[in-house]
Amino acid sequence: MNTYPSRKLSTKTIVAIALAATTVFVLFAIYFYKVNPESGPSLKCAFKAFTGYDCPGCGSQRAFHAIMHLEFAKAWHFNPFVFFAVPATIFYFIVETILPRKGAVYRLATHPITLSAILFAIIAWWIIRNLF
Amino acid sequence: MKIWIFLDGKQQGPFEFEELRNMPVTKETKVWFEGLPKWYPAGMLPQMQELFVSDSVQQTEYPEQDTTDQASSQQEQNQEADSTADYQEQYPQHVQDTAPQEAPAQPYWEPYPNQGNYQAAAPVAKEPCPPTYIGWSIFLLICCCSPVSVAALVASICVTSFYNSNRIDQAKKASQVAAWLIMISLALGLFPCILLGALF
Repeated sequence: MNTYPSRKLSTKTIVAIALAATTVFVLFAIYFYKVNPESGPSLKCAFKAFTGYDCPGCGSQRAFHAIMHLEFAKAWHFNPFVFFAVPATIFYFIVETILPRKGAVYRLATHPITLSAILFAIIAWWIIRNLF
Repeated sequence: MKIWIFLDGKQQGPFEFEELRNMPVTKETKVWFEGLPKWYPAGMLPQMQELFVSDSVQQTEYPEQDTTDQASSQQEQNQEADSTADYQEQYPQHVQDTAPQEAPAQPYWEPYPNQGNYQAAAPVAKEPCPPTYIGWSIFLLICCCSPVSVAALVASICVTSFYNSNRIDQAKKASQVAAWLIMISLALGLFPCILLGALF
């Protein structure tokens, strides 16, 4: 009857997920420690290239670089949104992959109202940062 | 449908439904068929009501919920999910009201295949929510932010929205749409970013 597998993950799977996540995190950290987006080559935002406006994520590479060098005030200046968006994204990846789909946390986190609030927060930030 | 009944102090079956018509099955007779978590008095099961249509004279009290559910169970699937959700709450109380506290003998429980985890396979267990891919949606909206990522996040919202209103088929569809939009948005967002980064 259930089309989706039950979410009882084996220890092996959890270890594999944890290892993969750690690897990604370490590579990510090394990349942003080494690469300075302001001087060297880096990813360029397509939205900004075409429209000239900032997108919600513009500045996050510079912000990550600043965070890796422990300059949090500078990071906040580049893109304050990453301080909320990164934990939220990590949280939602965990919610999607690990948490049981019937649990209270899953239901609250994926409730349409919660998700709509996130969508509106992102769009509001998108508009506001281009106005000021 | 294979049906087991508990008659004359022992478990009998399996029977087809039609065979039960010729047997002394009353509303108090305990009945089990695949999908039930345990034995229930036949009077409580909407599937068994047809047996008692003729002898409605000695009608014992069974909750009016049953008759309404019986009607709706023949209707659409999503409504069935609604009404059956009521069952889960209703059944245990009825059983304690009507059924005596007798501990069932071991063979009494035999037909049910996987006793251990019947919670998971409860008779009317609602399907788990299809994946919303919400993590990807948020990640893409922040990192690649093509308008498609907005659509992907909206599709993700629709998944839980449909699921919460018991429209599971639509929720599954929304889940697939979200997956496609995420892939499109990845292609539209990430590759131009890398390309532009390489060029300038």
